[in-house]
Amino acid sequence: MSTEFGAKFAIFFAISTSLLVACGQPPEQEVSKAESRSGDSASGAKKVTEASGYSTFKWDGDGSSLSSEQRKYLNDLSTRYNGIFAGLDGKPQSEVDALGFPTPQEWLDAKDLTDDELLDRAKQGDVKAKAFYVDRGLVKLESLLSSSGAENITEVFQASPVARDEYQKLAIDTQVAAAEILKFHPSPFAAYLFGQTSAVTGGMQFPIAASIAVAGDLGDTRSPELLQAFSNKVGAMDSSAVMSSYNNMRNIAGLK
Amino acid sequence: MKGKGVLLALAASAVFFSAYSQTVTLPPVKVTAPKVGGGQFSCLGTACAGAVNQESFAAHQRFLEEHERYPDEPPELDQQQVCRAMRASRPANCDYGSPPSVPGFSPGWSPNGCGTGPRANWFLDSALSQSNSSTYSGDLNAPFAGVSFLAACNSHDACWGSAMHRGTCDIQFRGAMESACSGQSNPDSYNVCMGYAGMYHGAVSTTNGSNEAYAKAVSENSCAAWVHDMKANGCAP
Repeated sequence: MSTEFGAKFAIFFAISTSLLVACGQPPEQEVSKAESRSGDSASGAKKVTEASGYSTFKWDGDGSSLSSEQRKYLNDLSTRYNGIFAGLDGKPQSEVDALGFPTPQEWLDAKDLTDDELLDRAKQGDVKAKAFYVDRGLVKLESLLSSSGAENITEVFQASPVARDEYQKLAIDTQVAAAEILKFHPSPFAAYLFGQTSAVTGGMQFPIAASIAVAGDLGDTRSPELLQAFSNKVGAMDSSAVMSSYNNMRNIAGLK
Repeated sequence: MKGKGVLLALAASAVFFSAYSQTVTLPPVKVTAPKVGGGQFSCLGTACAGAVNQESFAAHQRFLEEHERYPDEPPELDQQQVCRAMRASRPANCDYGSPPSVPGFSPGWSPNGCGTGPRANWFLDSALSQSNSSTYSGDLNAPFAGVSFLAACNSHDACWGSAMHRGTCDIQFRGAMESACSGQSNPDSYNVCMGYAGMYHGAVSTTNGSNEAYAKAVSENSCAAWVHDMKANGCAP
């Protein structure tokens, strides 16, 4: 990719997304100050129940009832996934469920399960358990990457046949599982998860941009803002690569 | 469909080489400069671009020393000096008389599918060493029966052969294979097919053989571009 081309991408990306944002997003549901806390608030990962009886999503509760470890875990998770969770705050829980997102409590509960327990649940058809299993694979690959000092996982594998022998199967299995979720249980969250997985296992950022666009096609109305934020974060990307990745992901998700 | 709109808008507005295109199209011009006596030097390859930029810089410096200011127009470059600089920038092991066949420069270039020709051995060994599955069809172009990776492999050949960014080529390759697998409606079949896509991606992106193959592709592209630029700019070898 040439520098000139990358700059061209960034410019059009920013312009296009700005225009789309300007065209108007439906206002997010605002959380009433009169809302009351539901019974599972003791965990700190809460569903917030409003006076009207339905609940709203809150990624990190009010913070006070979470342990520091839990708070850190959720913060790290939000960072790793480019803020897709925190941006759901205030939406009706039913809407968040429809987008395929696990609740914070489900993330925290899954964190305490062993790999085998997660895998067993996944094999029994628990899609969220499979998603958590995918994320666990990503954490291992990201940990390998950060300890290596390399820029991406393919560099790690190229530099170390030992690491390649040990982790390449994990990379492939993780990618396959993420694809399986997107194909057979398509949702915006499945798209984000697949994009994140593709980026980590392929060593390039652009699948994440593609996945945000696919998540938009699958119903996440935040897609333009998330694309803009991601573009601002990573800078120029190869637009032809983003487009082909986008089309491939749409194929996997069954979007024609 | 807003995300799609965003991506379509940017795609429509950008000129790019598609790794999925089989059309032989010359790469974009990297640099031009006026010639003494009329006409332009034009470079598609980095060796030529470097030579022209070097001569252009030298011409600017000469003008500055003589006139104590930079020229208002790009200085005209001497044919012999530019050709001398281009000859000096000849890529290693590049034979002017028989440049390698690469996409973008050679009308006769054609892709060779999944692991035939010079890439056969390392690709076959790498991909299949990771497979202990009885599902292998025996055909590298379609390792999982009923699903062809041939188009994906050919596009990947074109992408590497054009010296495009390796990581981008490799992910696009995997994406094309994943897309080919998406017709599998049975989860078990789908996962096996995707497993092959992962193995193929691993074979081209992380193995020693693939590193050598990519380096060779880039080297051949540089040579082909240099020979093209030498001829296009009227430089004798």
